[in-house]
Amino acid sequence: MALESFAPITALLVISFLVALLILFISRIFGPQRPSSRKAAPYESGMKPIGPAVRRLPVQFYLVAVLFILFDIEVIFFLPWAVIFRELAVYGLITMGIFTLILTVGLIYEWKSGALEWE
Amino acid sequence: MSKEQFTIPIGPQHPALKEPGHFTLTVDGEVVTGASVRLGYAHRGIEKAVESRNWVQDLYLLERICGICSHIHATAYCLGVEKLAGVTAPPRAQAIRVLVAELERIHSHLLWLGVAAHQAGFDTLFMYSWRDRETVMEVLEQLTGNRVNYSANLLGGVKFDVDTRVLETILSGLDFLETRTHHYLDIVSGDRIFLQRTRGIGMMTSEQAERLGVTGPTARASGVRRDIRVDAPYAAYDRYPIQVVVETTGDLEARFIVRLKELLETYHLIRTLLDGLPEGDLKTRMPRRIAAGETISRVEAPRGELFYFIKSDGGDQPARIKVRTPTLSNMASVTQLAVGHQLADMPMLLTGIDPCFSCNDRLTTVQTSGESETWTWEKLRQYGIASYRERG
Amino acid sequence: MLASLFALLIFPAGLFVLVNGLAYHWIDRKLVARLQNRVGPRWFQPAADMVKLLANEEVLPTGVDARLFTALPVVALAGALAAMIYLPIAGLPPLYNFPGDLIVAVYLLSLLTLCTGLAGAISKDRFSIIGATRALTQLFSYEAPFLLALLGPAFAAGSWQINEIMAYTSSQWLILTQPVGFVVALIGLMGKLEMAPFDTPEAETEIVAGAMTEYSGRGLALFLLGREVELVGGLTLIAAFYLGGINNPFDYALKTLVLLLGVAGVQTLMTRLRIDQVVGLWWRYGALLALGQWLLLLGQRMGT
Repeated sequence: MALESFAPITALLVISFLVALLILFISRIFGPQRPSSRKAAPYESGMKPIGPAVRRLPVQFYLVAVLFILFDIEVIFFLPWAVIFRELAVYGLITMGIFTLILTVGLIYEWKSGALEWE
Repeated sequence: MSKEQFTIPIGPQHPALKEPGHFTLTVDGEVVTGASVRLGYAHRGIEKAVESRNWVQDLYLLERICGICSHIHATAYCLGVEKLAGVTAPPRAQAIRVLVAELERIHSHLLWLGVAAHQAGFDTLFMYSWRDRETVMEVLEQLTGNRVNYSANLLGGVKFDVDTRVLETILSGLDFLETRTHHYLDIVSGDRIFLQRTRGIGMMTSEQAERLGVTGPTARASGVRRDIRVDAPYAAYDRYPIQVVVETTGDLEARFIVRLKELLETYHLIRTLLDGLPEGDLKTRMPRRIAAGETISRVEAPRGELFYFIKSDGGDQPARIKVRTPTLSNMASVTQLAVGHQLADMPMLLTGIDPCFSCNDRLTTVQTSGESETWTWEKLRQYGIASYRERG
Repeated sequence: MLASLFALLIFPAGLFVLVNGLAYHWIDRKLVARLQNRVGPRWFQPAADMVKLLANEEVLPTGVDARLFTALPVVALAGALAAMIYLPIAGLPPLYNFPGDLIVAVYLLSLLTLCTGLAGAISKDRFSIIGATRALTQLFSYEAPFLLALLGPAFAAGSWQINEIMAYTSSQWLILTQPVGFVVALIGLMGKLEMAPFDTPEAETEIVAGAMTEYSGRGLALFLLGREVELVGGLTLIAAFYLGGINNPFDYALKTLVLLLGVAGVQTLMTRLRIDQVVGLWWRYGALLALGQWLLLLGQRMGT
């Protein structure tokens, strides 16, 4: 795959950025600008802000993220394999089968150990 | 491991609240570990204001305590004042009071169904129930000329009669609403995704319900058989008895089912009432000055028990009127039940009691010295200004 | 040069996609409204919303990184727009292609959600932070099954190039042979767009507007535009893969609108899911179903 095949998307990305920036620029010129400290305060349902909003994430969110990374990698491994799996024939099928199995066992383990229950 | 304390302020300006109130929730991740409530944003000083108006004017002022259950406030007030004056409204008037009160209950429960569905993110049920609510709104409009503040009550009677044309509208409206209510009952007890958000959520046992002093449908959903219409019949309820709807599970699903089954009971009551509407006058004469004395008046509002204390010193103005609305009784249950539930369940839990903030907001001062003190209008006004300034 | 610039800027990519997105957003709103027995907005409402938002003052909240706060909506919209050149927008063949452009397109479509999550995370606002956590958690839930569901047709066609897959799917409707993949892809798209039962990250009655709470004016407008573009892109992709390809403008309009009707139906039928229910749904059923479909395909291919 030649690098030139990325040329159009690079061009489009640049153009899209320019268009979005143009929108920002135009409305910055014509739009009202009357900042005030009350307006810029974070929204806290109409109360005075109560301290910094710093949050420690509960572990469940990380479990979901880890699960996702595992499966995303699995899917990415599928990609090249699926195109040439005819050439790899039975050997490719067996190796990919083992790979899928390991990940599926991981999912089942996580399921059974209660990572998907949020209590 | 120490629990994380992440505070989330909900209200006074928040999409979950249709009226201003403030809840402070502490959450650990998505699970609520603590909740507190602060009320008083919609305090209007009505209890003080009635003391400087005469008995008739107060009727209209008190009717405006609540925008949804306006008629029941006026009824409670009228019944109390009539008791003080030793007057009884004629039977036809009492029956019409019940009729409007029950139509209002339909209106209130359907409105609640829509709001509760919206809180769960089920906007289709919200839109449909509010469409059907229009039926009863139109009936009320045809009967009284108004959609919300009906002004049906007078001291000593009612203002409107039920003629045959309205009778037909009511009956055909009830038929339509009855089929719709059965349909909604199917949804709230059968839709699996909706049940995921209601079944087992906000469990309140009957012991808890008794201890927290909840009233109305909220209590009846927890197996507490308490309904003023049956326990202490007022107006014409002794002649048109109702079946108290009780569910024992005490979760959100039960609160949905109790309110919807109450609607069916209400349709039945209205039909029997219209069948045997007593003939006679619509009102009797009331004295302008009410004899000195004090009384209480209890009625079953759509949200639960509504309590009026009325004191007269013999003049043409009341000496003191104290109102306790059902929302205040039920509010304590919200902060109790919130703990241990997901943040996503909070709007539904709050709506489960059918809160009405402007109804319940009153000013209470606790005197530690034991001396009594009388607040004037001006003092109340200054206090309000200072309090809002301090809040910022 | 001029012709390709026109193609990139005006038609079929660029401006046309924006207009198309606004139109589809309106159709979606109108359909949902009609299904809910409401009247619904008039046809220019989404466009009027945009104009109004762009004319609004943008408030920069205290304590946020101003550059990042302004840049994120731009990146989100640019990413969604960039994905469009690989897709058969308006029934025309994709503007450009190379082997593996499906992967690029799919990841460009995820950029919007990532930007939303980041935008919420940098805001010093409680609701934004919760919304961002939920948005990313939801992304982690649907993304893998969604990818698998789009790889099904690619695998059947034996290529990762969108126009080659379309050449294969034009001859047969994959919705018949891979129904699970179709459903997972459509539901995954609804999750991506944070549509009704999956609108947990911006659940209005709980966390106001989620990650978008602090955004106003231009930033919000760009995010909304990005989402509308993504609606068009996602529907096109699914129609092209599962509904017998997209061969002409008529095909395009018909098939994407049918899908939009389905999406609107699902939106009106269900109650919002809690975030734990979303995770459970995707990892318990979505992932396993998509994997099962994948294994079935594998067996089929080995058999032939």
